Amino acid sequence: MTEQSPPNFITILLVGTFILLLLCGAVIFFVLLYQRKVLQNKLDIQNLQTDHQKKLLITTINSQEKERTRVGQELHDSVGAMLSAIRLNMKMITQDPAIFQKSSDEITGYLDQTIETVRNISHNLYPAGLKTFGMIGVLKEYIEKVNASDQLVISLQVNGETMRLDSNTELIIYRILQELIHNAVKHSRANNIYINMDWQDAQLFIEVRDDGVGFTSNQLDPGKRGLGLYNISNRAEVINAKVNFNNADNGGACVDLQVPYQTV
Amino acid sequence: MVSSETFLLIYDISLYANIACVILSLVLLKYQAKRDRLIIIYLILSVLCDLFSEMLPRVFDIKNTNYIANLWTFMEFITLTLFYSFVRELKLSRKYHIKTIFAFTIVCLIIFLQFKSVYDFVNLHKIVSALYYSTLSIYLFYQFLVNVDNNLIRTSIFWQNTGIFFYFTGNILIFLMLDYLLSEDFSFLNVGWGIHNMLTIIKTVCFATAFIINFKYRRLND
Repeated sequence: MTEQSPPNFITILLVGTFILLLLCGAVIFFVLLYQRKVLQNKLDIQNLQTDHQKKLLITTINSQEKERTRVGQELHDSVGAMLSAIRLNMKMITQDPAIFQKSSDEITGYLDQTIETVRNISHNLYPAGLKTFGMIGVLKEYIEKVNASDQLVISLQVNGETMRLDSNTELIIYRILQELIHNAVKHSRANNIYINMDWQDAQLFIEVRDDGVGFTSNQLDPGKRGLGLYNISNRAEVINAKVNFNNADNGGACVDLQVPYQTV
Repeated sequence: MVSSETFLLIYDISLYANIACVILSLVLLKYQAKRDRLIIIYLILSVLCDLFSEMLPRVFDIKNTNYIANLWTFMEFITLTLFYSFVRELKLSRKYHIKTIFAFTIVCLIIFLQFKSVYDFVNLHKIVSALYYSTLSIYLFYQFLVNVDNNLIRTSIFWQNTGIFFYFTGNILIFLMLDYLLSEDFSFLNVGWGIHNMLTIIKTVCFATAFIINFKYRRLND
């Protein structure tokens, strides 16, 4: 027994040390592997954020360009045309004072139309009543205008005690709703839009439903969303709101917006 | 069995590797931070202890050099604790390291005043030291995992900790069995000593890598 023990001890020492070193190697390997994975994840997240920011920038630039084009077109087609007509009438008066009465009536009419057009353009750029009447006030005004156009009918229902939010949040919510209504008019072939606003403790729930064709599966996929819906998501992100795009049971589009708020 | 010449060769390689590493570190001294300079001090002390252990029996005919090994373990513990006290990633306070040095000094005093003489070959404080540094280096690896900031392979602290981790963890069994190895045939001691020297080579290579990394990246920053 005693003669057998010495080689056993050496074996234990050799095997034991070998196992310990193997464990050391495994620990270091694991640390490096894990670290590499975490760094890779960090890099992926960074890339995603960069992509997102790029997309955001492109969306912003596109929206700005679209808006500039629209305003430019409106100024050229409406205001420009009417000012030209006024100029023409003025010229006619100087040439033939006899038609003063007729021309002055026309000039007054053109001026009224120009004022109205400028008012509309400025309202589209920034709803003037937002500060005074709040989001609900300007929304009602906007709905009235859309309803008057006979394209479709929008119903607004407000539940709970209406609050005034900070002007930025109100403007963003207004823009989101404007975009949703615009989408419904342009794409969904809807006849009715139902807007439901539910004021709860520190949360505003907004549901926008229509009876149109609804979203396609591509539009519901966050990665394949179009510019309009992407814009809505981005705007919602700015005010820490959650937005959900779904199809309602009747097949129409249904958008839920959950906005955390602080009263002012 | 491997011949004793082989073990002597391994010992020589480990000694020369240490000397080469010291020379390398001194050449690249200006690129080394405070904590890396403690590793340089550690290596110099290690080389000096090895050289003294070699020279004393030959030059002064002093056969017993055990006290050098005992003193070395104590110095090793202090220099490495000071080194770790500069490692911010470890997230341990300076006070903790000072207390550790104090506690280890008390352990050594108890061992040498109560149980053994400094002229004996003592393994108890070596075991304590090996267990402590194995645990500490694993803890530092854990901290690396929790706070991942940059590529570990490109940091000197990773290589220094790896060297310390391999060296002390690999030596635990040797230190535990030291009494037995000393009491048996010289060839058994050679096996243990051979493994110890191989681990020393690994540690030295890791330290050298750390010095080169410091040189490479600090030069780039300059």
